[in-house]
Amino acid sequence: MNAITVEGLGKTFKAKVKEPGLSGSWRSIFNPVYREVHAVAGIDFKVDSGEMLAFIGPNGAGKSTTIKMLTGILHPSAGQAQVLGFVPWKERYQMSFRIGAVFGQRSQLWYHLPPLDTFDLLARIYEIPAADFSKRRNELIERFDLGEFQKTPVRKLSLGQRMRCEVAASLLHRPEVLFLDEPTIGLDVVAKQKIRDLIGEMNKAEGMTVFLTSHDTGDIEQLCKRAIVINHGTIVLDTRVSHLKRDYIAGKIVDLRVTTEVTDFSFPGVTVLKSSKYGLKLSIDSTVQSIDRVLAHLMHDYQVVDITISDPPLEQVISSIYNEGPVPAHDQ
Amino acid sequence: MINKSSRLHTGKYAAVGRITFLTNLAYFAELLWRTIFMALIIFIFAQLWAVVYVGIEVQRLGGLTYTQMIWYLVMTETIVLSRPRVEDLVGREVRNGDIAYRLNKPYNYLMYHYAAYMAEAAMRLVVNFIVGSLIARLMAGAIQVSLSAILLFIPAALLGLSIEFFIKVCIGLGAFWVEDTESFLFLYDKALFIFGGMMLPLDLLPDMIRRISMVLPMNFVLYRPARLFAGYEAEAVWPLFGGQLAWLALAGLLCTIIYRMGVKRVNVNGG
Amino acid sequence: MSTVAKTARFIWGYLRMNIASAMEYRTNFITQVAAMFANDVVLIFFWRLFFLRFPVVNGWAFQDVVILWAIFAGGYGITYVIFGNVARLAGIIVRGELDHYLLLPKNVLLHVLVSRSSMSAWGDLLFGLVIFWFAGPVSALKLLAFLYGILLTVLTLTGFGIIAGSLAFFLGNAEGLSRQLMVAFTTLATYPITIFKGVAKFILLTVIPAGVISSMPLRLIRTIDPVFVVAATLFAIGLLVAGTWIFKRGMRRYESGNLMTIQM
Repeated sequence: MNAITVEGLGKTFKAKVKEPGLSGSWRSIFNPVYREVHAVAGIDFKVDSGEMLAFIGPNGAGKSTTIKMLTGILHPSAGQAQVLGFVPWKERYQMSFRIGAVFGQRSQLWYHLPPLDTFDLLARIYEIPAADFSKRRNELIERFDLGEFQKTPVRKLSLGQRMRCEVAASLLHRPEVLFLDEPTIGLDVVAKQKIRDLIGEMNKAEGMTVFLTSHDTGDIEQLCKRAIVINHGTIVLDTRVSHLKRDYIAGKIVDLRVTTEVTDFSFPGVTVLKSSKYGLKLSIDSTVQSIDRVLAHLMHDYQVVDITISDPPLEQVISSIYNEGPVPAHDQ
Repeated sequence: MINKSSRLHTGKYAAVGRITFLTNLAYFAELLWRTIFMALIIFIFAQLWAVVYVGIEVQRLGGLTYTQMIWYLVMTETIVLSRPRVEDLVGREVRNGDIAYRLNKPYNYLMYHYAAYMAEAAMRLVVNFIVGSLIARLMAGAIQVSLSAILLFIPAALLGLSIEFFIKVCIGLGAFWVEDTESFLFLYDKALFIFGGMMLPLDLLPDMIRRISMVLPMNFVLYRPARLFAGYEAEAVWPLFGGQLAWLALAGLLCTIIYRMGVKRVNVNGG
Repeated sequence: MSTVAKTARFIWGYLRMNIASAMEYRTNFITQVAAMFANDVVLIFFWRLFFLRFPVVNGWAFQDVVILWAIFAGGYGITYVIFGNVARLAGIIVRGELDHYLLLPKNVLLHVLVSRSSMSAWGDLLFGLVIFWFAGPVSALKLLAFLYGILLTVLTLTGFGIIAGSLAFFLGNAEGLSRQLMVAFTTLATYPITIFKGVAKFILLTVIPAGVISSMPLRLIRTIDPVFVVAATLFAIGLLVAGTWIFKRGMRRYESGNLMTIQM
């Protein structure tokens, strides 16, 4: 069953064009010039019930506009969409009981009050019966480990703690679809991991569909099996996350630590990304050079104490898709 | 400390004023919005005072004809609406410790703010004066106004605004010692309203209150400059400017002293 | 639970949260309330001075101005305490801040209005209630009329605020215009209606209906004019209904945070 279906969805904004300076302001008041901006230009996709989908793209690609149309905030200028069988912009009210949303950049918690006060208010807004609510709240407090700071005003929480509360708050009414817009933005590594684990757990435990946008490749790699890449308002790619790397990256990153001093290193098909006295970071273009030959060469020349071979970060994969067509793995 | 010469480098402060002026050009539209409020309030006053003058059947109240009364009120509003919000700035810089970073800059802190303040105030004053005069002309008719009244009003208003600047900075600098300076600023504003003659010329106040207002500086900020414009009397010129300069000197001196004491506190306690 | 009870519970829920939030900064709260109270006192003091000089202005005595202030400050206070966002609607629309409310299963307009509470408005409310006792002898009927006047003020001001704010849906950046309209309403409502004539009076009873409020001292408190009471009640309800309808129409044009200008 599909939780979300989208057909030919598009949104065009009319933007006032303003020239700089006072005379520009003057002209824009009396003789405004408009320009049409196609934020989303006819996209199609489906999301299965219970699926976790990554919706990615650079800034201004149309991600937020799409999320806003799917959550009933914006009316589209073209196309159809259904979320849980509702047309979001027409049946916003009924739909809102069954979806949840977390915007990493915008808090729904009351800044000067403890998170539990916001939970109470949300219970009222979502009309959750008292008994159900206290059961659900306690369950979330336990699972999200909120016990110790449930009485602390939100302004005194760390960003990581706050984000855990945000996510918990959006789950109080047991949404069937959860929209997450940059849920880990600004968090440190540990906090990020915790949020990811929790989202993953909740998806498994309750089978809710997750629609995620993020700039953090970790979020996408760890949570989602499928990714849709959007750019300039159109879908450029809709594929499995594992395929992303296989198809779009021809190369590996080798990071090694040595006890012999590193002198000038060069080898065909290999680019030195970073080199220090006892360390080297290399990028190997596997279309030119085989990895085992590079490794053999390294083992021969250096006393190696540590070596890691990894895929290039997803950022690179995505940026290479944006730049159209696969490119070899190079940093910067 | 870099303080090679004690003489003021006025060019520096002129540059500060210039950049403030340019910044404020960006808010020109907002400035015009605010003149709508002036038009509204003057419209109300024009109705209110028309009723008053007709009701008591007199030609002059406190020496002013109906038309002069409206022009008087336009001029007090012109000055009131020209005041930049310096108080937030100084108080905030003291509270968040930014003032410490300003100390090692090669300029006089008070002069720096004064230059910025005056640039903004002057620009607003000119705009409000022009728009205000149009409004007054439309709603109450023309008044006989001598060239000297026009030429003297602008400097008198600017001097009045200067006095207000130093009073407000004095209060703002109070943030070195007390947490909440806003309530004092608020009290000053309310005092200006009554004792400055913003909506009622001091001539019409009960004796007691008029006498109090005459020993306070607020009448030099609003009442006297506006009164000079609306009903020009040559003998009022010297008391006006003399009084303004005296209050300016006093407030400026007080401000410098408070500033020095405050800075000493920063140096001792660390920002 | 009935819809009315549910709505009341919802409004109360927000009010409670807002008060609790304000209590986190008790001193600040008290300062703001006291400052607003003092502000109103100074304005009444101005009128005292004015009427000392001119005892009767077109049928109005000082006492009538005090009653006007009692009603308006009381109604203004309640409006901004409960519907604290009423004057910020335009900005909220322009900046795309309706998004948050659109995600929640509640009436968007009501939700926006109640989600903020003005702290200083408590000062106005307090002032209105206090000063009422200084405006001549109090009878049960007068008290009732006073409270009804406050209710009408709340409805009129809220309805007008919604319409002024909703202009942002249709005109783009109407924040300045909306703010000026609210300021105009507030200012005009505190001057005797009888000083205005002709077109000005017509505007005050229609486009910027502040005159409805400034008519009250003479036509609701001094004597109860039944025609005025019925007309003002119908007008207030009509304004609120119109405001709700305009907001709803405007929502179709809502463009989230995308109403921006492109710099070229």
